[in-house]
Order: sequence, then structure tokens, then C-alpha cells
Amino acid sequence: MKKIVVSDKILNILVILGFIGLWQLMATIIESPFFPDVIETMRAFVDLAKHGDVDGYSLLAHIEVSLIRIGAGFGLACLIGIPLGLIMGLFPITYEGSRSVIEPIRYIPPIAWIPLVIVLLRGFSRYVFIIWLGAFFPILINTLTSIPRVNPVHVNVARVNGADRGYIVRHVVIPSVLPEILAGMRVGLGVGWMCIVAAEMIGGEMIGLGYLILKYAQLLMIEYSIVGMVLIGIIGFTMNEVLVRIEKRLFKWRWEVVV
Amino acid sequence: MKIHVKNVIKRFGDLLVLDNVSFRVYENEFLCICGPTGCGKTTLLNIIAGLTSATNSNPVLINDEPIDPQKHNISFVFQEPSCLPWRNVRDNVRFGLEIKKAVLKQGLSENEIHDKVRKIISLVGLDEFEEYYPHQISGGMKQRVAIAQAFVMDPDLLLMDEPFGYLDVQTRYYMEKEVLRIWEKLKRTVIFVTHNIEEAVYLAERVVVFTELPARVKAVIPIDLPRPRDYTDPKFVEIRRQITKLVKWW
Repeated sequence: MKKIVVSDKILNILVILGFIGLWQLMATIIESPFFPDVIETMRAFVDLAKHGDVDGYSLLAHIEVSLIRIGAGFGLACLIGIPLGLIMGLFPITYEGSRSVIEPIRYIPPIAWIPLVIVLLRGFSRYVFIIWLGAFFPILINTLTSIPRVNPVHVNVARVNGADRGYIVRHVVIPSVLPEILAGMRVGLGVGWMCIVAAEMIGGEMIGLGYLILKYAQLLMIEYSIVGMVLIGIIGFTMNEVLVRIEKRLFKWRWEVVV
Repeated sequence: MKIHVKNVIKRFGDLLVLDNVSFRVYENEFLCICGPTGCGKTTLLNIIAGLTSATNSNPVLINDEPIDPQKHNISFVFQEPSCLPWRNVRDNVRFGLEIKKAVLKQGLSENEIHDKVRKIISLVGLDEFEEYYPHQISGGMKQRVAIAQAFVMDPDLLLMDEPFGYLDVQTRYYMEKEVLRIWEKLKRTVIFVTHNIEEAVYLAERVVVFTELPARVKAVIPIDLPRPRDYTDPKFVEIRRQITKLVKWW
């Protein structure tokens, strides 16, 4: 028997084609003006790319502002989540002592915060807060739970040679947990993107990929909303790929199989 | 460096692991600790190194004072692979020297470190693997990296916890000779834990034999054989038989 070798690229192309076929099939069966097929969606994409949306914003402008909002919310989540996670991991009492507040907050969906955010925040900070909420917890939790998994032998090697706590944190703990932190960042980025619609719903501006979806949903031009959905998916996927590449380069020692 | 282990007691919860363990290690002595597996040898070594505290206070004195890793120059070769996976072979060997330099401000110059590291790496036969990462080399090679890391420190006290357990017979034999050669040259105090009786008799000046759990010192056997020792020497075989009898727990 001949072994059939299929590269993952070819497999992915086949799966994309299959997915589109399924979509088209469903649209044909359902036959509703509110369930656009692939061609209508493509047409909507071309229209948006060429002429911009009903308010005159170009597609690129939508993408740009959403990226900035994600960047700010996600960046802030990293900036707070990583150091806080390290501190809470290194001094478990800080987490153990505050978990009765942190853990419940973690389960509150960012959308639930909308009324409060409307009351408390204005402008750009609204977007940042909602996205930050989504991205923050995966980063925090991944960072703090990675600390106890540091190999004790590695710490002992440093201790026997006279290293103090600060040195051990910088030269043993942080290099050990870096892969975990990056994994948390990837999850956080994904959740951040998932919050974009909620954030742009209340941001007050008529621009952004999330708002684009809402705008056309209200106009019942669903194919335009789907363009927004697909774009969010593709951009999120691309950003994730970039992080994965960084991960693979930085942490070769984790990805490569033992020779 | 001389060590006085006096009445070490260690409990993990209800489990008594070390029950009044006492012995002395003389200046520049090569001492082996031998005993059944799981009898607390590693725990004792960790206590001597200051990595674990005993249940009673300060039962281990190094040159008549309590152990302090920042003050005493100690190296430890651990039983399990201890290389840092994000550092290549060379940087793993350098690790201890870098700590001394950064934390204790008493290190060597960059050039001296470079030369020393190079020398020791070639001593353990890893010249061609300097740039390799631990995941790219074999288990035995990783252990040689750990040994090089320990030796490069010129420690006053070298603690070795079944360091050759992971090595194949050939490398093990070679490393045993190498350890002896370095010890004879540098004359440092070595405490070497093993459950391999033959290895203990080959290496040690004295062998401390432990009982099963809870560990007590069952006997201290001096080994007055000339070096290099011969495994087939009747006297060697006789001592080995004597220790085997002591260690037997079945």
C-alpha cells in the first residue's frame, strides 16, 4: 500500500473550500434574504472596499481604528497582567488572599459591564476597558499559574551557586515561564477580539469593524455584517500566527523534539 | 572544607526520614554515602547544601559554622537532569560563574571565565557541542554538562547525588576516573551519594552505609586500597561483599 502524504496547506485549502461549499449549500436551502450566500458577501466586500460604508468610512479606516483599540486594550492587559501575574505567582498569598474577588470578576462577561462603562467612562477609554477586561484574565491567570511549574532543580542549581531571590526570578523563573506567558497572551488576544463588538457598540463612534457589523445588521444588510465578521477572523488569525512564529523562534527548546 | 553532620533529624509530616544521622567528613576527603534506594540520602545531601532545612536546627556545620550557599563555595550535581533548557551547553556551564559574578561580586574576569569554561567543556568531551541546547543532546551528555558546571566552580565542597545513574556503563567508568583525577589534583571535599556499592568502593576513602527508612548510619567503612583501584583485587571484592551485606534489606 502506498502511504498518502498530504501537506497541511493542501488540507487547509480543501477545508476552506468545503466550508464555503457548505455555506453556499445552506444559503441555497434556507433561501432567506437575511442569510446571504458567498457571492453576495463577496460583492458586499468589493463594494465596501471600493466605496466605503454608508457613512463614508473606508474599510481600511475601519480596520485601522479597530487595530488601534485592540492594541491599546491588549497592550494594557499585558502591561498589567504579566507583572501582576508574576507577583501573585511569586507571593502566592497575594493571590490566595484576593481570589474571592478576582475569581468572580473573571466570570463576568465583558458585555455585562456595558451599562457601568457607559456611566463611568468616556470616549477611547470605553473601548480600551472592555477589550482589556477580555484580554487581562487569560494573561494574568496563565502567568500566575506558570510559576509553580518552574522546575525546582533549576532553582536549586541557582541557589547552590549562591543566587539570591532576585537573580533566581530574573534568570530562572522568567525564562522558564516566558512560554506560558506568551501562550496566555495568545489566548488574551483572541478574547480581546471577541470583545470588539461589545466595545464598539458603546464607544460612541460610527467606525470600527465591530461597529460595521452592528451598523449593517440594523440596516438588515447582513452580507455586509458578514464581511466584518470574516475580516475580524482573518486579522485575529494573522496576529495569532505572528505570535506563534515568535514563540517558535524564541522557544526552540520547547518545540523541537528531543534528538 | 570539613563537615560535621550531627544528629540530623528530618520528618516529612509523620514520616521520619532521617533519624539522628551523624558523621564527619574530613578536609579534602572523598566520602561516599551508600544505602538502599529511597532511604533519605538525597534529603540529607539537600540539607547539607542548605536547600532543605532539617527538622532540628543547624545540625550541619561546615568549618564549624552553619551552611550558607553565598559564603561557602559549594557545587551540587543533581540526580535528575538540571541543565537550563534555554541555555546552550556553554552557557549552562557558565551559569554558576555568572551568579558568583553578578550576585556576590567576586567573580573572575570575562576572559578567565571564557578560558575556564572552554577547558572544562573539553575535559568532559563536549567541545563540539558548545552551541547545542540540552534538548539536542543525549541524557548522558546533559549530565556531563551538569558535572562540568559543578567542576568549573572549583568548589570547596562538591556534593554529588548519584550523578552517574543516567550514564551508560562506558561513560560512567570514564566519568568516575575523571572525578577521581580532578579530586586528586584539586584536593577538595567530596560527598558522593550512590546506591552502587562497587562505585562507592572504587571512589571513596570512606563509605558511610545507611539503613533503610528511617535512615540511620549503619556503619562507616574505611577503604584503604591503593589507587588506581582494581575491581578484581581480592581486597576490593572483600570490602564490596562486606558493604553489600550491610546494605541488604531482604
